[in-house]
Amino acid sequence: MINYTKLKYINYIHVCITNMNQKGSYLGEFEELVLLSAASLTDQAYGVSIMQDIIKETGRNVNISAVHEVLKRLEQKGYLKSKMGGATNERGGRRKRFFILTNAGKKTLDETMKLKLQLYRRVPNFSFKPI
Amino acid sequence: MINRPPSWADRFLSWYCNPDLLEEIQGDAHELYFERLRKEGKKSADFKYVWDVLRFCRWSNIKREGEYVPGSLGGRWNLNLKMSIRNAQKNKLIFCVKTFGLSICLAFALLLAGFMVNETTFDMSHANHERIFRVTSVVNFKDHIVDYAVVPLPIGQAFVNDVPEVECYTRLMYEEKPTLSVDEEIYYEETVFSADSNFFKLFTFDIVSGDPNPLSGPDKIVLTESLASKFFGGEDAVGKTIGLGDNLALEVTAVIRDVPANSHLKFDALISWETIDREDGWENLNSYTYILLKPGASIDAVREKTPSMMEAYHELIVRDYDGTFETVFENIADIHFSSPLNEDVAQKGNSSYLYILMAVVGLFMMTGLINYLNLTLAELTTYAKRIGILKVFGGLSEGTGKIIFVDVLITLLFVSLAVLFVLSGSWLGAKYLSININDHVFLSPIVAGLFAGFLFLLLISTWLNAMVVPRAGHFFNGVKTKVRTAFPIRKMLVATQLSFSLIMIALIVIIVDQFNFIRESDKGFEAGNVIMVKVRSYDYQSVKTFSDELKRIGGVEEVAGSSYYPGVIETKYVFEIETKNGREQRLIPMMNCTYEYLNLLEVKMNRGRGFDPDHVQDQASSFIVNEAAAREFGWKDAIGKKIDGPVTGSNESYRQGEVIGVARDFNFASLHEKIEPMIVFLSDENWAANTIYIKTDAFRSREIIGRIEDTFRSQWEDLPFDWEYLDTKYMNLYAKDYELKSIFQVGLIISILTSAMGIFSISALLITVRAKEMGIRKISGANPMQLLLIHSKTFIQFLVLAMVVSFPFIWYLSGKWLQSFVYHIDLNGWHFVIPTAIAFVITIATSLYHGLKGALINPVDVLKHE
Repeated sequence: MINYTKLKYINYIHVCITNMNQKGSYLGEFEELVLLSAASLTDQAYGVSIMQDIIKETGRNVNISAVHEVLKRLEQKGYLKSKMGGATNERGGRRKRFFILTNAGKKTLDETMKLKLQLYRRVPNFSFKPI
Repeated sequence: MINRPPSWADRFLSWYCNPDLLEEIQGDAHELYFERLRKEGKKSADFKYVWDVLRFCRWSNIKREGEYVPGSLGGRWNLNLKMSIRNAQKNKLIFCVKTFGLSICLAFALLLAGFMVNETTFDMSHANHERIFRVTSVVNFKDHIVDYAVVPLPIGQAFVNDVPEVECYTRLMYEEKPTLSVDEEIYYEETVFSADSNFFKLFTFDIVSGDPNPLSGPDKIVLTESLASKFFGGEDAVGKTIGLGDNLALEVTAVIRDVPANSHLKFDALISWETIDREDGWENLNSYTYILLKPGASIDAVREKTPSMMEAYHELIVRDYDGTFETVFENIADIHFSSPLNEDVAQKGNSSYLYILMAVVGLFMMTGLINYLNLTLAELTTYAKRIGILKVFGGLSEGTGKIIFVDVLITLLFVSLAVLFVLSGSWLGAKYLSININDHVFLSPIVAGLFAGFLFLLLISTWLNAMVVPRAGHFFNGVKTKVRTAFPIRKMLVATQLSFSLIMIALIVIIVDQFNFIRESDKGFEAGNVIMVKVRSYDYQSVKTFSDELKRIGGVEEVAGSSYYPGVIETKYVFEIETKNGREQRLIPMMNCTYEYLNLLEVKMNRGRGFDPDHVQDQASSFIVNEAAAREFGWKDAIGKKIDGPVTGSNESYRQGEVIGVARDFNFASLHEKIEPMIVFLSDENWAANTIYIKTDAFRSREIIGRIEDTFRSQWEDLPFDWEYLDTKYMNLYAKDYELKSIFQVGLIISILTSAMGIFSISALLITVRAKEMGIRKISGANPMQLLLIHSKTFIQFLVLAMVVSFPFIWYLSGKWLQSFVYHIDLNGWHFVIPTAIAFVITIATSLYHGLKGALINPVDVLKHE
């Protein structure tokens, strides 16, 4: 008999352990872009839409495979979680994998943005000078 | 126009992609494709789609992630690996014993298999070996038949001329060991053949450098690589000059690779046929002749045509003696195991050895396996605990067997390494034991197959084991009785192992016994402290001077000459003998010697007297025969019987005389062969005795050799000084038997070692399982001695079982070996009692450690509950 509860528990422990072994909560530039884009698209965030969003917003030439790679990594880090959507018409009936921001992802985004703003404010020419 | 992405790219994507990721990846790619199709057109969309597919092809999309199942081989099997390695580290001793036992057995089995393959693939390295036949002869001398490996010199040419199936032939002539000189250095230990120029057309020997047709024309010589480097060091030998004998200079025309160990022809150099003048008439029965059939021709057709072809030459062949001559053909690959022939240079194998070795190979593989299984089972407790822990963490019960499987994989890794190590070691050992094996043999499919088969067997047995263990997993819950389910199997395993050891011990006892028999058997002569010097001079006078001078050396007790050199086939001549049926011509081995010879060897005279210088007629007309000859001729009283001969064609060497004495049978040949009749007469100018036998002082023989050499040098400056001890030479006749003996000695040690390990491990298990029983017995009043007896009883059972199994094998295998001796010991009770006693001691000794532990147990320790 397979004990599924225990199995899941062990799986969870395993995931935690593997996470601990990875680079940590550091976000790369492109990772950040994808995470932001996924967060902004809310419930419509999947591979193609994220890619198009980034292309539209930044004008960069982005390949879909790179987006997938980063999405996978972000999910592994626990910043995004994903679930498969319903059947579709436009892509031969294949389902989409939708990504949703997790609490941890939101927290990390907040922190990075805060940090960036903090640093940005320190630059003399642009900072507000409280008198 | 079909609006679909290129199907090959699609197929490629679904081929490499992890099925779990395929749907989303393919979906996204398709979505992009159709969008681009709308905006940019088909061509661009196709191109970009292919590009996307290629970009998706990365490891993270390819690798398949399995479910995490403890104990499974998938996904996280490195966990099992880690556990196995840790387990091995924890029980270092058991792991080492397991690995070592398995690899040593396997290595030994492989080595023997290599030896067997070597024996069975004799002469198969020749590309045309199926079409090459050796022509040998059967000469029927009225009352008896002699098989010769040699045939008349012109017979090959006659076959080519008269039998259309024969494509070509080549002849070989054994040149014994001639003197070769290179830049003043003289060598005389090389085996040399003369060969026809088309030698290399028939036989496949790789020419390393030089002329591809090196033997055409006189004064050519072909060297093997090792001889070339011995003669010329690192220099290129081709084109150099080598002196042969006194007046010939040979040109090295080619260097060939060394003759492989599994070739019946063994030589160091080949001389072209035309170099040496010879009588090439039909009466010269002296060459080894090989014929090559045309492709597709059968030897039977040749056999049919031979009698009619030979008719024309028969008269010529048998001109000198009364008899008939027939030819026999044997395929070159069959030569090694065919029955021995007279004057054969081929190294003959003995198929009865092969059977014994085959049995030993099987035995060793089984022993190795059984031992491994036994020790693995002994670790049952550890396994049970590991499985229990895994189950608590949600492991699958089907997966638990795989723990053992991974363990085996690790062991296999070590075993493979160890086997390589041991093989290279035993390779050297084999050289030391003078077992010649061709290097290529180890790459042969049979040996490789054996290795693979062994590993396969190991895996299979491991699976079986793995099925037993989880069921015994209840052990963890405290139900210890379950372990006993594995017990009958283990009993059988240990009993088999023990019977292997019994067989090995018995065989070695029998071999040693037979060797003692050989050593102590009455050879009829005394071989101790006798040095033989071979003189390559036929000058009677100088040999006589040499012998006389030797007598003056201090420590030399007696000097005698004889035509006979042990280990060389006796020369046979036709004699006219007065038998009970009147005068008859017979071909009898003969030997000539000086007056002192029979005394020197302490050959006893049964009747009559030995040669005596005081009897003048002895020199020209007296013969001594041995008992076998007297029996053969049917003489009751041999003294005074007439012998005329030997018939050679020249009158000076012919003697007419009578028998003056009958000597006890003295057996120069090995006990494998029957003692042959022998006629002995005195040597003179026509019959040179050019092997000098020197009986020396027992304590000074070493230093005397130096003085003998000085004397030799003063007589013949450039002849090689070639000496040997008679007893060493005599024991060399049993080289093959010694080979077998040394194989068995090594085998014996290994087999005793492994069975001791088996017994040790099972007694360890037994004592843990029966600990409580012992405790209760002790409380009820049993004394330690009784407990020890109870423990030992199990092993006595093993021993009895092993005896029943092994005795028939011992009887059969040793019988096979002993049959190869004409004179041999008979099996008796001791050959069974001694091995049993030895096995008994080993069994008791190895089980004693744990037995004592069990007997001296403190009942409180085992019976207390928490």
